[in-house]
Amino acid sequence: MAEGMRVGVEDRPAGSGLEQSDAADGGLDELYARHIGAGVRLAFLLTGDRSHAEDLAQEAFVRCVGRFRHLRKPDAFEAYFRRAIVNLHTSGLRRRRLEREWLSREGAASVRRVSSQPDVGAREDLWRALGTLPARQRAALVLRYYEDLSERETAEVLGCSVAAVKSLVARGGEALRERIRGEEA
Amino acid sequence: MNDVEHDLRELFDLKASSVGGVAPRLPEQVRKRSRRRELGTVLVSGLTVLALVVGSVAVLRAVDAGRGPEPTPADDPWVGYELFERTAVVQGFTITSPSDWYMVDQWSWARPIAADVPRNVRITPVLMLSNTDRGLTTSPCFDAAFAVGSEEAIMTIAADDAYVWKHQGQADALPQAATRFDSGAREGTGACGTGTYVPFATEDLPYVAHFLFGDDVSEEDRTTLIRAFETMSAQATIDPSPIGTRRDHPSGAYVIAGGENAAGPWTLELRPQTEHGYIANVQLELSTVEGPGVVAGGPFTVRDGRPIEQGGGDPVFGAVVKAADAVELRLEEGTPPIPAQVVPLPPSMPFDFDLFFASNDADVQATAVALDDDGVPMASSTPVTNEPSHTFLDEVDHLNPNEFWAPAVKMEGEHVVMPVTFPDGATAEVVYPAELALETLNVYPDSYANLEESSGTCGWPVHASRSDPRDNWSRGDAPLDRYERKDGRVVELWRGQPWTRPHNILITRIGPWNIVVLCRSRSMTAETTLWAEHLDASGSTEGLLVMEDSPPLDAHPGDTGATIRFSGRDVVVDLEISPDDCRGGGATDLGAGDGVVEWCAEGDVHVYANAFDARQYDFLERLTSGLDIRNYRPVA
Repeated sequence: MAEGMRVGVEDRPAGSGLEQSDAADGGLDELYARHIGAGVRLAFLLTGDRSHAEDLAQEAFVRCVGRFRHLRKPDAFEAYFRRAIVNLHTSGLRRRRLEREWLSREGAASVRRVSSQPDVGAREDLWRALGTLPARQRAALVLRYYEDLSERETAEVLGCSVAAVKSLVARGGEALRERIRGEEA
Repeated sequence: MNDVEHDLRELFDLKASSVGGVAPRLPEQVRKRSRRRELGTVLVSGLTVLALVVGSVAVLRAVDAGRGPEPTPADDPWVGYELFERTAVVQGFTITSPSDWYMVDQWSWARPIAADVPRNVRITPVLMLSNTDRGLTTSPCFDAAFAVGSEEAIMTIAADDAYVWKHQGQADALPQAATRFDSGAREGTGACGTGTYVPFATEDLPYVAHFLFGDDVSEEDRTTLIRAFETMSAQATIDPSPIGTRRDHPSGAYVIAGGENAAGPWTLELRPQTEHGYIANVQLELSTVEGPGVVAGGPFTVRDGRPIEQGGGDPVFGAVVKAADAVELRLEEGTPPIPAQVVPLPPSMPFDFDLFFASNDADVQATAVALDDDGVPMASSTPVTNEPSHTFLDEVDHLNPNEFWAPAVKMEGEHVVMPVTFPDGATAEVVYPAELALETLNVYPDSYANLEESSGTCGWPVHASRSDPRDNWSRGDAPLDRYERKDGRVVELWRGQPWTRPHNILITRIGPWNIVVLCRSRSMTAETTLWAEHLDASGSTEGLLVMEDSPPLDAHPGDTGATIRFSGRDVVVDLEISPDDCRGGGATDLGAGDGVVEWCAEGDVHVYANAFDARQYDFLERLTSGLDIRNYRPVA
């Protein structure tokens, strides 16, 4: 994606944000500030939960920091970060840790909060239907229609073929249609 | 754009914006974890990007792979290789067989075992010849469970000590000297179990040849084995090689080749050696009948950037990468090259290289060159010495920067067992399928030390390296500063390489290890001095390090951080004692798709593996299903 991972203005590092930091950590602060917002948003679209999304993005950040330094390709951080977020999400096993931590912190209230979202119309139907998709189908849709990645770029992130991306997007889209039609019926 | 796509785009934008602002401030917990991982990875990468070795300390993994009642099924390693007729002198017997038969010189291994057997039944295997690879530590004469496979043909030549005992004092008591199978063979049960026995004698000693043929053995193999026996000749007076202890010779040796040079017959054998009680290190040994044992040899392996390694003079022999199509000896200008014979390793030795040998009758300077499929010398085909003398490696203080080190391992069936001591003193066994070959990676301890009331001059990861850190961590011809400890040991502060910025390198040498701490100071400050004075270590039985300390330094703050790291060029595997990460079942990530896997094994050992190349993701997957920790014993 030519424009890079979507970055909001609020994500840009504030000048005061680095002042109290260790000089050696300055790069880390800046890196975090530059990418965490976009990461949380991507994670939110994948998980449907804000707290979970933050945990997921932070976990992905921690993992990418070492590799980022190793690879010495600053420009590649965004791609690695995105890939780490998606892969953390798509692995159910990987989610366990985050979910456990999240649930222990938030308690049952967080579960209720998710499940008691009021239905505010068709958009929420779609959102709810999206939550029922398999993780990789949902990730493929988010990467294609939110991150605006090409099929090839999406395939790279998901670690699959372009044909598989086409299939994931097609099947995900069809499943959404079916579920929305089912709810409307 | 279809309806769903349109709706999804709108929905995603709306939902994404509903997330609102995300605090750009790095949470302290994330900072801490990031710093730790970042520093850890820097420490790793500094070595891994420089390390080019596939495996320099060649650890023998499967000497006894063929051990047991049935032979190990294995693909024929000779497919694609040129067979030759191998005539070699083994403990005084000159025996000829096809090169794809497995001949094991068992004398030095068997003799100490036989010594414990009563003399009236004692028999001492000298050599075993078989059409399958039975490994180096079994014999039908010692193993009651030994069973012949249906298509196997196995011959053992053994000294018949029992015959001597039974006929002591009797003149002319030696059995017939003829070695005809048909005339001397008798079926029955003897010291080597059931089978066909053919007694025979040299001029002064009785021997027995013991044959086992499977029910479905081919006539060709049966004939080949009998012919090997009938064409065998013996020196009038056999003077077998000196006998050591079981510890000296825990196995037999494969007979790779034989020949003759100006000094007489020579034999090239592949013999493992032991380290810390475990079988380790493949040795190629060249011996002559007249010479005092081994006249040339050494541990042979090949490395990236050095696809061939040679030794000897006549013959020239050594190891070459499997990617090589051929090997030839190049002499002086204008002399045609001499083609070398390439020999695959027996299946029980799954090292990723071949052997080669070539006669060099003139015994002149010869360079063995590995050729690719087009007959072109392989890149960096730079051989090492061909000095016709011992090339055994002496104990060295430090590895070369491109060499790897790993503790010795042992085999348990198809699995490798590597005992380790963590830097906090906890011990465990790392168990994994042989195909993972973790012992070919560079293994070293990492830890996290803490200095009370530290200002943060020195980083808390503590790294240890067997290579001289001045080769790849520091720069300059002299240290920035040095400090003499109370025990007389000198600790040096060196200017760091650019990749260590902003840190310089505090180096404490302990035995073959160099403990490295990253410090920001350019001289020995009060705080740097505290690290230099109070950080210590001692060696573990496997050759690893146990980090030690004295106040105000704490080498093991908390119960987390002691790590054994397996480091390769594209992959790093950390075994970290980490109750923090393993609490409640711990972090589990078994999907290799992002280049990272992690899980908790026995003893709160957090396994964290990172592949830097997508081609290694398969390795990560195999790691998750194959790696295990057992017999974990924490520090009391």
